[in-house]
Amino acid sequence: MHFFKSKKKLRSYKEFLYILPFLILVAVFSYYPLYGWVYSFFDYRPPAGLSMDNFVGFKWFLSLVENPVKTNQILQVLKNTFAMSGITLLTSWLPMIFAVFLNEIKCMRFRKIVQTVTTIPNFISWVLVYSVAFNLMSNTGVVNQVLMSIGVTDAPILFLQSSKNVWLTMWLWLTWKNLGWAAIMYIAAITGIDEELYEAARVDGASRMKMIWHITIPCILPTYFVLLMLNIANFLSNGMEQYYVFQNAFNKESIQVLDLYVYNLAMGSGSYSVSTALSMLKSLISVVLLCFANGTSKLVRGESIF
Amino acid sequence: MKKRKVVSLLLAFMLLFSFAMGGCSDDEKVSTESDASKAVNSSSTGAAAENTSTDSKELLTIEMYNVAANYHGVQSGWFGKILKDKFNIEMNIIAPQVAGDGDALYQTRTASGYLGDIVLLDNADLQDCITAGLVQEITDDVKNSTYLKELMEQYDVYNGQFEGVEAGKIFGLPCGINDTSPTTYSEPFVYISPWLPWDYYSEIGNPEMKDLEDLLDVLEQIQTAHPTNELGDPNYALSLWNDWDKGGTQITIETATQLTKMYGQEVRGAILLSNKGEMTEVTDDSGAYYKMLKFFFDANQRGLLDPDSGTQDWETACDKMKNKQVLLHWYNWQRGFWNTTDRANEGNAYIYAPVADMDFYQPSDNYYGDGRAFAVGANLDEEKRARVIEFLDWFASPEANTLHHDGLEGFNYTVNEDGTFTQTEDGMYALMENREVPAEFGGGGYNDGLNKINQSLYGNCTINPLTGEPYMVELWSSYIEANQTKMSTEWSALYNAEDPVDLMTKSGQLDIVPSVNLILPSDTTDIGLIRSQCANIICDTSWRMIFASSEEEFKQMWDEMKTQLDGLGWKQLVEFDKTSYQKVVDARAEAVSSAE
Repeated sequence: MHFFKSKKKLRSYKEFLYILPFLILVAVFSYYPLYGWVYSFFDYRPPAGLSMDNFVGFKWFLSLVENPVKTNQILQVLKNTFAMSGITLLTSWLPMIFAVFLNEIKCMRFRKIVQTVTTIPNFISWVLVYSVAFNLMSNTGVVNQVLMSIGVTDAPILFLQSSKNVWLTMWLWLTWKNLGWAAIMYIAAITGIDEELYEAARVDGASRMKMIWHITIPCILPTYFVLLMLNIANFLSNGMEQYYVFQNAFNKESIQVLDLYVYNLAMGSGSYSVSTALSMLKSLISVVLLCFANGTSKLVRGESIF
Repeated sequence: MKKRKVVSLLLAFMLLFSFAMGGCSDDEKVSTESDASKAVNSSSTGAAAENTSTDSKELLTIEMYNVAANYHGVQSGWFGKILKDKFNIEMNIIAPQVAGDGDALYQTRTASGYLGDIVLLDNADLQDCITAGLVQEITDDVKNSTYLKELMEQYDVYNGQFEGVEAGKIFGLPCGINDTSPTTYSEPFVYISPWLPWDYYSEIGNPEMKDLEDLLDVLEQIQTAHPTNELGDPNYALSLWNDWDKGGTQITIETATQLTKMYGQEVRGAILLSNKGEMTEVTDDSGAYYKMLKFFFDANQRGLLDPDSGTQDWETACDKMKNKQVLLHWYNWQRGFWNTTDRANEGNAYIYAPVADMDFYQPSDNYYGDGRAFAVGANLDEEKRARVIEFLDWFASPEANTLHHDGLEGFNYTVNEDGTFTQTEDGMYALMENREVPAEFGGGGYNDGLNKINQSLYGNCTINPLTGEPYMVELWSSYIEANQTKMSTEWSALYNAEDPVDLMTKSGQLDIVPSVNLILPSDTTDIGLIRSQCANIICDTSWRMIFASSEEEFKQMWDEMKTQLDGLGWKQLVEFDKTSYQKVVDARAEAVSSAE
């Protein structure tokens, strides 16, 4: 029985077996689907399968930019995506600050209540959020009723139909929904900070603000950067449910993000190939963005996630 | 320590194994399921064959793949009892509409080579299934049948269109055939026409209306006189909704699309098809689609349009209709949301209000069927095949069609001395309230036991040989007599006509278009993509135009839209649709000439 030269080698094979299931998991659910990319090179129509007869090469990629109208459409969509993801990125420190301040509340009961109330919206689906929004903002909704009854306006304001400030209102809804949930990670990080640091600071006579600034924030900054980087990688996929439920003919030009565009394009037309081509481009850009963010982090902070 | 290692190793293998099994479960499941059902079927039919060779009354489960059904599972209730008593069959309905992902269901079933013992499909899918050999020819069975053979003319015309089918062979049995004539229209109301609340309209003296401008004037007068309904909610002349827009070949907004039928045109994809057989582009400035957008725009300018129109869905709009908050209706079925006999007697109900310059687009009764067809699955054993045919033949009988359209004798209707039917009180509310069916029919709620196949071979305008009157309850003489209301008498007296169709015919505003049942080519990927992109642009622009702030802006948006459409390949789409619908135009011309 000398299959393995040494005990050490035998052990390493065994240990490899431990991680094998997870490798297979990753392969099956992350790499195998990439096979689907071949659809973007074919003229695929559902009942019929793929055959070389309907191989079209880069036709769908080129068709995305074949004339000014289409190019403009794509540019507008990218603009929306970058703007809305950008706003979210720029304000990504909000949950962190929220967690820090939440941690400063000394009355435990109040703190728990605030945390619960802010976390619950995360579990409400976007469809329900929209129906809340509709009931609040439609022309017979609460907001308009109040405005009209106190005489601010004569006619109802069409909040949902306007294309003004869409980016901002979308950000507000998103923040309302996500703030409490996103803070959980930071709260956990804060709990992990060594109490001795605070005690030492207190002995040195540090004020509360000073402790936040010099201890809490630096300690949770690594968490923040990891999350930030992951966010950057997801820059292009800023979710479509939200925009899908809020979209209408009037605001579509400013609300249509890449994922929603892919969906609107594919549904009802069966243009699976074109959609595949688009999402392929998306994946490539995401990888580039992640590498970029990682590189920047290495340069600026001397640390990176891989 | 060692033990622990072994356990973890075992666990790892179990995980691995379960993943491997999970990965292939999808296909496996389908095949085992169908194997199982085949096994059940074959055992039961096998036993039947052993028992008796002629009278096969062993319980048999027939699987029906049915695109019309809104119910998934074995037919139960009173209709289920009839099937059981008569044929000793259980009808297991496979309904893609209910199954969640209908497309996937269709694909997996077709890929496995077995769609169902009986299939009910849309025309284009049936063509695919014929080509793929999933359904079988039934020419001789139809010829030797008792009831099916009466529809031979329609079956020949329909099956003659399939590619790869020899002339005279029958594969598909089109549904909903109204065996009247290709140019008859039996109903008293056209599908799309303006309806106003009779009380409000009479209140302002039933002013004559020449055109849409006058209609808006009338609506404005009514809305000013009645700014809210009885509950105090605001009234609007028009309330639109956006969730029925585009989809399939449609690339326009639903409301304007339907209203074009008041001006002699029907939107079909990228073209407007007129009741005279002409075709123009949807984006034509003189076309009815533009005219209707302008109508909505004008209404909004005058404050007659519900401001929620662009963002609300059908449910919300429908709630307003049910509360009489919407003054103008146009679908003929919309009357069901408000009209009742009691209200009509008070004049508090909706009725057709003529506008002189309208020219209605109305296809005739579905003489050739309604776009779906039954077919018999391939590879059935002799026994099962015979019983499937037996069922289908019965399904075309007056008995089956009476059950489908009218319900149960003694419960939904009673038979008069002259053989005609009279609707009972139970019949009136059976559907609405899901009333309890008497025990002799098997009990249970009426609705729950309804024919869940949800389609019949004959349409409801066909004359029922048992009564000499159409199947449709609203066309029974007893019903018409019982439903003479104050409103309908006043209306008839004022316009000197029996019903709206009578009035339109007299004023020369109705040109019945023969209905045809064609198998049109489906979109290629290129066309599908163009269609979807154009649909997005057209629908979005249409809504923005309706809510535009000025007429200038309205026109400018329209022009901009046309430029954008050109960039997306509009010309190609128009060309494609023109070629498709030329077939419709030709078939209609032929139907007219053959009817003459």
